[in-house]
Amino acid sequence: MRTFFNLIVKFKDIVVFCALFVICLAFISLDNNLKIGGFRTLVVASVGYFQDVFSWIPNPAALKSENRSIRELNLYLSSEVIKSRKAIIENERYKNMLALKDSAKFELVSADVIGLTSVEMRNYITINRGRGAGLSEGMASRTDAGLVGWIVVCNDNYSIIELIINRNVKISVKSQRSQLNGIIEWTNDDMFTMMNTPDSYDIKPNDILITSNFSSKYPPNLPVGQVVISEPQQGSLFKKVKIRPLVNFASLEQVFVVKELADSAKMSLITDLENKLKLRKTTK
Amino acid sequence: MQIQFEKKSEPNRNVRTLIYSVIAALMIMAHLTFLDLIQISEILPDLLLILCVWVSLREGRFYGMFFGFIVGLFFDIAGLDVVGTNALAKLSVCFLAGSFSNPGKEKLILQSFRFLLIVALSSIIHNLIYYTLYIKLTDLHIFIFKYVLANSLYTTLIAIIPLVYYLPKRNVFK
Repeated sequence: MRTFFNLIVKFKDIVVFCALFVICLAFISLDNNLKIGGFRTLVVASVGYFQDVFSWIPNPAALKSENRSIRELNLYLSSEVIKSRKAIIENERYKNMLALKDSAKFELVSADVIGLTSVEMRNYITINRGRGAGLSEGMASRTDAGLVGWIVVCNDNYSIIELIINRNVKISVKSQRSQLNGIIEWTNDDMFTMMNTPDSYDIKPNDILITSNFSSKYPPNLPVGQVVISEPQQGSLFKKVKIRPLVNFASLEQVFVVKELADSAKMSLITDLENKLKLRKTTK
Repeated sequence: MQIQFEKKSEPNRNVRTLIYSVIAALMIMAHLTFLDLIQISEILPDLLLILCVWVSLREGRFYGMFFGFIVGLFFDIAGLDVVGTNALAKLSVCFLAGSFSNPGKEKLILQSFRFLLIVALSSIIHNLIYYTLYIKLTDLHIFIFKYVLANSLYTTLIAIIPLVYYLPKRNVFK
């Protein structure tokens, strides 16, 4: 301690000079005068240059902290990417649905699919719209891709739709290209089959089939499916035609219900004919 | 023929300090009031610098540093300048000038042209320190030639006045 004190006394000029120098710098740095802005800039630039020169020296503590921050940021960003991708897909879907709604000549009521039901090996979906939204039994349902099914039961708030991908479901269709009519039926191999299609019929693969005017269940001109196979069968007058439905039933989340029922007069005429035929059979 | 130097009894340090303080105050007043009358192309002589160098050479480095610091600080406050800039510059100058002081032989330096050289060097150092704080890199040549060199030259010329006053008086008539 005495040595230190003696040292200070010996070099008192330099010690005092350094102390007063620091005091002056402190006064200058505390001042906010813009006149010394250039000097401050120069100091910052010089310090920055030297820091850059020696930046190659690693700082383990800083690196560890930086790594942890980067990992956390990475995790957050990856979840954001997933959300964004999902939003993009949903956006595209909604845009298509909105375009459909604008262009359709029938009034459409949108609904969310809230349930998937299977009753006696038949597939149904439940939607969150019912009589309260103006729906009723017999109304067809579709997406932007195509026909989904028709309402079989509904109450004030919900409706159950029978999907077209059920056995023994028959739909009267026609080819959009050749305008030829036919009836398709859902078979067990996850595709529709067009019944009794003569070899001469102009049905080719990739043809789009839409509901025809002859259908009593579904409104006309709704896309149903796309021809996948159309080939003659050996030893038969009819060709084998397989149709894949346009709707992806595995990812059904939103549907539109067509607020249009079949002409009741036409329906009652068909019903009368059926009843008469039944009566004739029983009396025979 | 005998040349006699007049020997006067010197006042003590406290009195000298008081005298220096009064002179410094007068010089600060002069700087802030009428010194602009003798400016040449916005260049003014630094009277306080001359005083600080004088005091450092006369009283020594240790005393001179404190004197320069306090005078510079007061000048910053009075002149509404960035506080600490003049203090820093004058402190540095007094440290440098005090290095040339020689106890017991102060008058030999103060009454010779070495004083002018010390003033010139101190002025260059002072201006380099002071104007660096206000530097704008686009004005580098103005900074060097006008604010450093020209200012130092003007200050050195003004420093001739006390030198002439303190030149040894020759008594030719014994």
